[in-house]
Amino acid sequence: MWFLALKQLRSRLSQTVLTFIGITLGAAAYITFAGMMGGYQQYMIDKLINNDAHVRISPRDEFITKETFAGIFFPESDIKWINPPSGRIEYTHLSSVPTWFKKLDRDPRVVAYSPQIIRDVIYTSKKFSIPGRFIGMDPNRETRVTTIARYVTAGNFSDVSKGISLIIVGDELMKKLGARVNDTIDIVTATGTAAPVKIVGTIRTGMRMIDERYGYSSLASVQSITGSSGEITDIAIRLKDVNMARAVATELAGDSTDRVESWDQANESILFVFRTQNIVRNSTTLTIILVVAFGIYNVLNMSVNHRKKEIAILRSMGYGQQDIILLFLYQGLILGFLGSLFGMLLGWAGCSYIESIPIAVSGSRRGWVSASHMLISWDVMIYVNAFVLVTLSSVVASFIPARSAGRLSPLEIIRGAG
Amino acid sequence: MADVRCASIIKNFENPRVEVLKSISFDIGRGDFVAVTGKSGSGKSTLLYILSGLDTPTAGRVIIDGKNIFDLPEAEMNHFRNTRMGFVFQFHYLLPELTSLDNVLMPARKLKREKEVRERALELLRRFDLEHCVGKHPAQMSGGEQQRVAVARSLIMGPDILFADEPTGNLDSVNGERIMNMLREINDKSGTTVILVTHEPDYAAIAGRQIHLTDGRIDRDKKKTVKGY
Ligand SMILES: Nc1ncnc2c1ncn2[C@@H]1O[C@H](COP(=O)(O)OP(=O)(O)O)[C@@H](O)[C@H]1O
Ligand SMILES: [Mg+2]
Repeated sequence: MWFLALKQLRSRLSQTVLTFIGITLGAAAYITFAGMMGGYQQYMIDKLINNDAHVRISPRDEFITKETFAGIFFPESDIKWINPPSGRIEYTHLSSVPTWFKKLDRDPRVVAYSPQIIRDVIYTSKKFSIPGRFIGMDPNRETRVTTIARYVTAGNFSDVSKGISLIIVGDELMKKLGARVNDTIDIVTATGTAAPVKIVGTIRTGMRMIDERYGYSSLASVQSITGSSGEITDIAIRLKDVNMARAVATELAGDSTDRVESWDQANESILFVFRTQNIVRNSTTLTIILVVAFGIYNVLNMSVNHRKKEIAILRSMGYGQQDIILLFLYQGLILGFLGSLFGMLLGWAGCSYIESIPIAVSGSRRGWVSASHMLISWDVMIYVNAFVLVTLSSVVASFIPARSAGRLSPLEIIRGAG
Repeated sequence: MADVRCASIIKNFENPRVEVLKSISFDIGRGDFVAVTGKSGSGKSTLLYILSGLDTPTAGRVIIDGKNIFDLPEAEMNHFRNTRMGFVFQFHYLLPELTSLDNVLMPARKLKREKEVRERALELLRRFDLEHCVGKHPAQMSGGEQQRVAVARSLIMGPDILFADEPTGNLDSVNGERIMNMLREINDKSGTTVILVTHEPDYAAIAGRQIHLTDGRIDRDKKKTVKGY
């Protein structure tokens, strides 16, 4: 039946071509759309995963409410608060760092971990003061946990451990301070003490939060400047399998008084935005598929109606219902197959074009990300999905007219005409 | 060659109820040339469709070569139709997207035998003066040429029985006669059983036997004692 299917497609060439174009555009639109969204999300997720730890251990915040005191002073039923207690207990550092180290050293799922001390400070230069984070860490360990060292744009990440009070800052932060590499700036701590540090390098990650606010220095420097000698506030952990992050975090949290969060728990709000985007994408995909399917359905339905006599004559020659069904199913399959094949090419071309569009970023403050061009995902699965979805929906859509063609009674048609 | 026997065939249509065939019985021998005649509406086409298994009777049996064709499973019936029956209708029903050669080869495609019968198809087309039409599409041919292609198609698998429902009905007398000559030749040379529905007495006279229908009953069944045209 392939032979006749091809001949029939060719005999109604303009319709075939129109349907084919519809399918091609549908598949291409899907690919471009998914490529653009996927590119942005992949980029973001990649940064979220790799710039920071897979799992992070940090001190817990605790808020005081009336439940905090329930049953402590009096039996609960006796108490009516006139002014319920409120407040916050802050744990400024991790409870038992050596215990964590021992645990992590033994855990086979952990590739590396890096103890950090993170303090909120105010960076000040002659004229400007900018609030930010002051992070102390061991560059060797940090490099094994996050990709931060890759984004160093001036100096060397390990330079900070070459002396005391050396810092690598986000390049935007440095710009805002009006400073240059090798300049000395001041760090003002929460208690109001100021200490000079020397800029030995800059980083640019593309994540505004880091580029505009972060400064990295050695553990000892941060501890001494902020007057918290020996304290560790965070442990950043890298896992063999990032997909295990949530499970590992939950397990490590166990009965500890510290907070253990996986990267996806920490970035819940961004991931929620992605989920919303994905819903939009899926409904768009569904619409595209419906349009493709309806196009095929329509064309084949018309084709079946035009070819009733031919169906009857084929049946009188001994072709069975099966054969007639296949005749139209093949036409749908050919259209869907070729359409999605060309759609893949066109979608690929579209993605390449979009990727080449430069975005002017310098000075722009919008968004989480700064990139020099549009971000496109080249994930093979997008292409596989487009191909499978479009071809499959073409076949499904052609099945309905094909089956009705198979069910036509050849006799009714012959009788009707004769 | 095949023999066809039909026994007490009744065909009714419902809503409104019409009794089209009222107990038809006759035997057709191998290699016979039978013309079914009668006025329009007398039930000729209905009878032919039942004999060829395209339609089912309300009651009665059609036995071809000892087998009741209505007992055959679908696939076997299709195979039987493909390899042993030929059909020619009043309207030629060629497939418009195929050349006349491809049209003739279409029944052979069912069994993927189109290559092996290609020579035979060309020979049939030559025999019916259609050499100039081999690569033409139906739209490029005259009505008479199209009907000749349809006859060639019905013969490609070398059928034992040829069913023809007013094959000349749409043609002028010159082309009509040509088709009749072809049917006669097929019956003569290959011994194919031919069952022809026609209401033209001249053409019916060519057949060795005439079965005349009036209101769904056989009212005359005339055999020539000697086959002669
Ligand atoms: N599907 C049908 N439903 C009802 N009546 C039908 C149907 N097909 C044929 N008939 C009737 O059966 C009778 C015989 O039809 P047909 O066999 O085509 O006659 P013929 O071929 O001799 O002209 C006609 O009266 C026709 O109206
Ligand atoms: Mg008739």
